[in-house]
Amino acid sequence: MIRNKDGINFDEGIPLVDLTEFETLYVQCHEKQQIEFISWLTDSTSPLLVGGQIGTGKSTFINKTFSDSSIYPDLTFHFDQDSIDIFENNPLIIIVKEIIIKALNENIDLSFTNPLYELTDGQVSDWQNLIEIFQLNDFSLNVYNIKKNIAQKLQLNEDFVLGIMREVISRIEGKMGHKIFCFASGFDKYSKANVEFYFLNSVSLFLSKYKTLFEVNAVHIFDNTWALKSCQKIFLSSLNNDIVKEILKKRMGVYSFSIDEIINNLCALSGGNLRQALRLLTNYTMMKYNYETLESCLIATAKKTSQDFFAFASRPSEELMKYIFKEKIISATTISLPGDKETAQRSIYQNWIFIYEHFEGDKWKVDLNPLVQHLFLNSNEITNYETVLLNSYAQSNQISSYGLTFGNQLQSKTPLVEELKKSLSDSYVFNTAEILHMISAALLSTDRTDRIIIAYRDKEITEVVRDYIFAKANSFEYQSFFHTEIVMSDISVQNQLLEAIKKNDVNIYSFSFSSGLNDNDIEVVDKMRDVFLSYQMIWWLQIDDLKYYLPKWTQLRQLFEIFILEDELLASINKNEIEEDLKAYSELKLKSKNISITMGSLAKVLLWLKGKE
Amino acid sequence: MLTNREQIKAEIWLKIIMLAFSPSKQDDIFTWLSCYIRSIPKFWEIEFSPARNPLNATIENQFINISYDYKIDSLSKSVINVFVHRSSEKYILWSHDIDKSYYSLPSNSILSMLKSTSRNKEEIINEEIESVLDGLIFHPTVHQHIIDDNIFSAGASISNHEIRIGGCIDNPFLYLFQLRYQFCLLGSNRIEEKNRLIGLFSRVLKKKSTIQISAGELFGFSLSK
Repeated sequence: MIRNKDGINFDEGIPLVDLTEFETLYVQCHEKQQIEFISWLTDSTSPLLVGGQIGTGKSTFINKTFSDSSIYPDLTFHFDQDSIDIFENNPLIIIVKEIIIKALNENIDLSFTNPLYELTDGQVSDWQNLIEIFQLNDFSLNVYNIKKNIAQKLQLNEDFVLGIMREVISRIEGKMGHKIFCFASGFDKYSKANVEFYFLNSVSLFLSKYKTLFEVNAVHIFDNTWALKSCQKIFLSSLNNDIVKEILKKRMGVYSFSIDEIINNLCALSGGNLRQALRLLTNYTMMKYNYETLESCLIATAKKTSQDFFAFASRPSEELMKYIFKEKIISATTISLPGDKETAQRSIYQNWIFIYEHFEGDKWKVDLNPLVQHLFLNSNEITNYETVLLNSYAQSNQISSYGLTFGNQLQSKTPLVEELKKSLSDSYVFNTAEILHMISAALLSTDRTDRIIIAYRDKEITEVVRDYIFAKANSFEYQSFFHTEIVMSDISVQNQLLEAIKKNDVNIYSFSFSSGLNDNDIEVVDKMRDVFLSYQMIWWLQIDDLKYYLPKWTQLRQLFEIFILEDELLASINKNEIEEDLKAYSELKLKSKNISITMGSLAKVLLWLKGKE
Repeated sequence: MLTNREQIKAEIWLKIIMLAFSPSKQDDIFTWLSCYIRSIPKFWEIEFSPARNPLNATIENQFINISYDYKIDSLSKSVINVFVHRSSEKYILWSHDIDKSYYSLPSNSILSMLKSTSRNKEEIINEEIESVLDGLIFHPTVHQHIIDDNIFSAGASISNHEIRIGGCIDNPFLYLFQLRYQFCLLGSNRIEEKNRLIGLFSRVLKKKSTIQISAGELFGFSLSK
């Protein structure tokens, strides 16, 4: 990147990379985090997550620390490509490509393994040939199809391929004489709601066995559901106004005097987010001649910047925003609530709120993004967001207390919470039931018009959860529901799906594919993408099946969000809460000899959770 | 009577104008102005959108609230207007009119009347070229300062006194060129530009070339051989 030495450098979104850029534009910030990072670089062999919200300067922070410490990764994987080349968007291929290139550069003998010919039906002869195909710049349909086929074949044998890569890395380490240091750049570009994020999971697990630096978003730092939840973490918060001011002045170079009058306002509007500050500055300089007064120009600048960033963004819940505005605190648990699409994760990922510093325990200081504050400050106040979310979300959406039946698929059920309250003299509310309640509320919100794949490992647990969710769904008077099992039979999967949709005029369609799909069905279903566009759907799939289907569902996977059931359950409840529930359940059993079917189901979930914690 | 060295400098003065600031064909004028406009963002180190029509463009540095436009009919007839911006209002600071239908001193003719002194190319030394370029561009003999603290406030790295707008320049291209230099607030870029131009004219003049310097070379887009 060619930068101006002393003049204007707006270049928003482009991280600083080399010494000249650091000398010209870098302002010291995140000092404590840098010390921790350098200490990790020099001493640790475990993985590390460096994360922050969009625009907090993560990449620059990482580059600067590499430069200061003179420690650079042996392998860098760029996961933030948005390329026309199918290979460059596939996490597994990205891993394979970089490892093999490194091995070849290090003159590692790869003849110990050559599964490619077999894996790719003869399309790739050996590793060298694979690299040649990687590097083909031919964008013909033929090359695209070859690459697509190779990618699918490798993806379908992911575990095997990663096993080979493990061995290759081991040989590279032997040659280099030290443990490998990897840098996984660009994880921060993946929203948790993005299906592509699912593909990163196995790759993340693979890399987490090495000294790997993961560049992630703040939502990943606070997320306790994904593969890297237990890693060491460094969080880069939004900055204070003095630092933002210094950065803006550097970006203005010799012209900084020209923003003396406005710079404090720009900093205040930035909320401590560097990218937002730069966009404000750019918009201000673009529009300064269009307005009569500084004030009117400032308002127009804020308006334009807010349009740039939020015009097409999905708005988070009013309750959360009002709560944040009032309390200025959020707990890490709130950020990783299951199925949290409308609330905290969205607000953080899209910068509706900014996280500042650690407060205490799992609490963090936060505030609304100054650019959008005005959108949320006119309605009634909410006093305790967590309480509202945990206990009253469903009720506030006019959910009645009692479940109904639907079709002949399920028995009528009394909602779990109510039943448990009746059964226990002290009205003990099961933590597990609350979590199920929340999952239900998150998945079945009437605001949703999208499609979800619920991936699961344990069929029995899934059935309990599904029963609960269905019971809850039917308590919505206006939200009708249809569930059916898609089975292998004389009727094709395509026809089963179409018939179910045609015959049942409901709000939500739920399909379970527990008996699996054959290759032909997988392909046919992928082509039905446009048919599913206008329906709200939940698909239930075994996680192992999903791993097989997703590489082939190139169309369909753009349509769905993936929700890993057991991960969400485990992330939402801690060991003590499970113990409390088990104790309450034992007391309940002692009091009442006839435990209902519902209670029996809950016990299954409890025991499963206990086994996993 | 001019001394030998004074005469050399006078010839350098006229040659520089002829070789670098006298495009005559419409295509050459278009190219010269295109290169002029395109060179400005890099030289001033600002964000700037190149004009669609270089023949009738406005050059704007919103960071110092100055802009100027021009209308060049020919080397003999043109006008350059310089403005200051205050919020949404734009005020004209001055208008530099060139109209050679009125009498001016025929410098070229006078010089050719003088007896040409026989010299070899080594006789042109860089100090003479620098001195001439100072008078033409970097520090015009007759110049104005902009006395307005709202334009270059106290925080600017270059003071009002260091911005010297040449006064009696009757060549529109030279006038534009020196505006480009004078409105550059970056001290290091000014020094680099000065050295570059001294080097460029030194090479060309010592070769006794009579071929016009290409606009690309004049504005630093190509390397001189």
